[in-house]
Amino acid sequence: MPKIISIHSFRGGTGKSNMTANIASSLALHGKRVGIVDTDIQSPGIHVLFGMDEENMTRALNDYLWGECLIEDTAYIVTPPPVKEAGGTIYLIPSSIKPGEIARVLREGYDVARLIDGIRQLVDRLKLDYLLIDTHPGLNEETLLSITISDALVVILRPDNQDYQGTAVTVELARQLEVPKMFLLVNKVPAAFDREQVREKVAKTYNAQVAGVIQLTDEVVRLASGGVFCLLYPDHPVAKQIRGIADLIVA
Amino acid sequence: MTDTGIQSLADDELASLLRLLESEQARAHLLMNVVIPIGVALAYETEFDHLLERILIDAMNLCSADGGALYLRGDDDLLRPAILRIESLNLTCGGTSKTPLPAKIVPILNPKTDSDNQRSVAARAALLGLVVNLHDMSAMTGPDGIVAEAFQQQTGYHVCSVLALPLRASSTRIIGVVELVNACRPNGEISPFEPGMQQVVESLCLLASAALESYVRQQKLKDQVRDMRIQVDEAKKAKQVTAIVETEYFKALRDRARKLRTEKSTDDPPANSQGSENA
Repeated sequence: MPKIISIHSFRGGTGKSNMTANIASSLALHGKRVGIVDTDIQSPGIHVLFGMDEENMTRALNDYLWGECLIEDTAYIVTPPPVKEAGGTIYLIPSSIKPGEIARVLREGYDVARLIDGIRQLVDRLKLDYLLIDTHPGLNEETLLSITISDALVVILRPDNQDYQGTAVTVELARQLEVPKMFLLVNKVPAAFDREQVREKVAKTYNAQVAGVIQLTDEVVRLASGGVFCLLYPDHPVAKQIRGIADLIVA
Repeated sequence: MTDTGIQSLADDELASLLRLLESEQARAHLLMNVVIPIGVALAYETEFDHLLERILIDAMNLCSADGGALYLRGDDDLLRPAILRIESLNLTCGGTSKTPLPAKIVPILNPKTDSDNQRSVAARAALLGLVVNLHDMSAMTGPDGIVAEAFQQQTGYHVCSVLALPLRASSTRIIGVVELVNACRPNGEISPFEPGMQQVVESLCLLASAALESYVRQQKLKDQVRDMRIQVDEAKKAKQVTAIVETEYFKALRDRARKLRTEKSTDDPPANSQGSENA
């Protein structure tokens, strides 16, 4: 059963953070303890989806990376009420939203190996059932290391020419790193597209399992970064789809 | 208006006001109970020919027109008749019927002079983007007269009144024309298309245009996905992958991955900390 799951996309704007929050919530709804690490240090954002008050964010992943605290000291419990009722817990390890901290990362870089060690420690120290890594888009050292320590990788892409080539390289590198499970997730698919056709084409092109084809609905657009879609609209077909995807990933 | 004001009106003025009120009420009723439900139904129509047929039949029914044609505008600035109906001749061409359309293609520009085609009622509506309402075409025939092409080829069919309405996809783009001919009074007599009814049909055409445009957009997307080519340059991919996997760094990473996957992650003993509560 996969414990560490990286959610990645070659390009930005694929809805990666949204999908990470939704998959994490779907898993936690089964009464599981789920952690999310926002490693998108340069442009953090997933905390917004859990309604986290930035004023109360006293510690962030950055502090751990600079060696100023333990990794578990940066974890916040952000469990939304429906997940709490179901007996689940969600921990979020946010990246700092302070411009000075972001600038420092960009200027000085950080010890990626320390990040990876921290992620592995989190699983044990917080007794997590699953840990999701919301990665920074693109291919860099941090992404490759995230894939290395992951039991499963979800690569998100949109039906967009600009996503195809980079996704192909990412998929191939993940294969070379022998990630045990890999899924593609096609997101932001226009409503007029036939989902099955998209699924077939993507699966055939990348020779990989397509966990889901998510259409861009009005509700999803309206919500944007306002909350976790699966929890707000649990009966919506997209919410049901995402729950199915979450189950498939950890099966 | 005060009671004194009403009393001071002459009887005929009052009667005229009442007629106006009644006609406005009837128009509001038509818009609310006929036009809007038709617009909703059009939006859900999934068959193109059915959609065209419904637009035309509903427009004809609204103003009791004996005949009607729907033209679609191509990228080549030609109006192509898509469907034609004449009730008194029991004639239906195009649309879902198997009967071919006899009517010819109408250029919006006059091909000989490259100037506006002012002879055709439909072309004029498309050109100007305005409704053309002619009470009696009989007076306008002749070599330079005005024609309603779709009906002209029906031997013995005489077009008297015409109402041509542009189908507008946006403020500037006309995607077609609905041409209605020969409004009929209940006694069968041909009459002009009344301005009040014209407004109602205009509203219907607005909704019809939106439904058509939405249908076309959806079709385009469907066509795109049918032709959706996921282009991956394999040679380029191999080059990009090789450039990464042949580095010492990547090789070390792969070794590390293998090692990690074979061993259980028991390096770090569990700690008591459960993280800090987020207020």
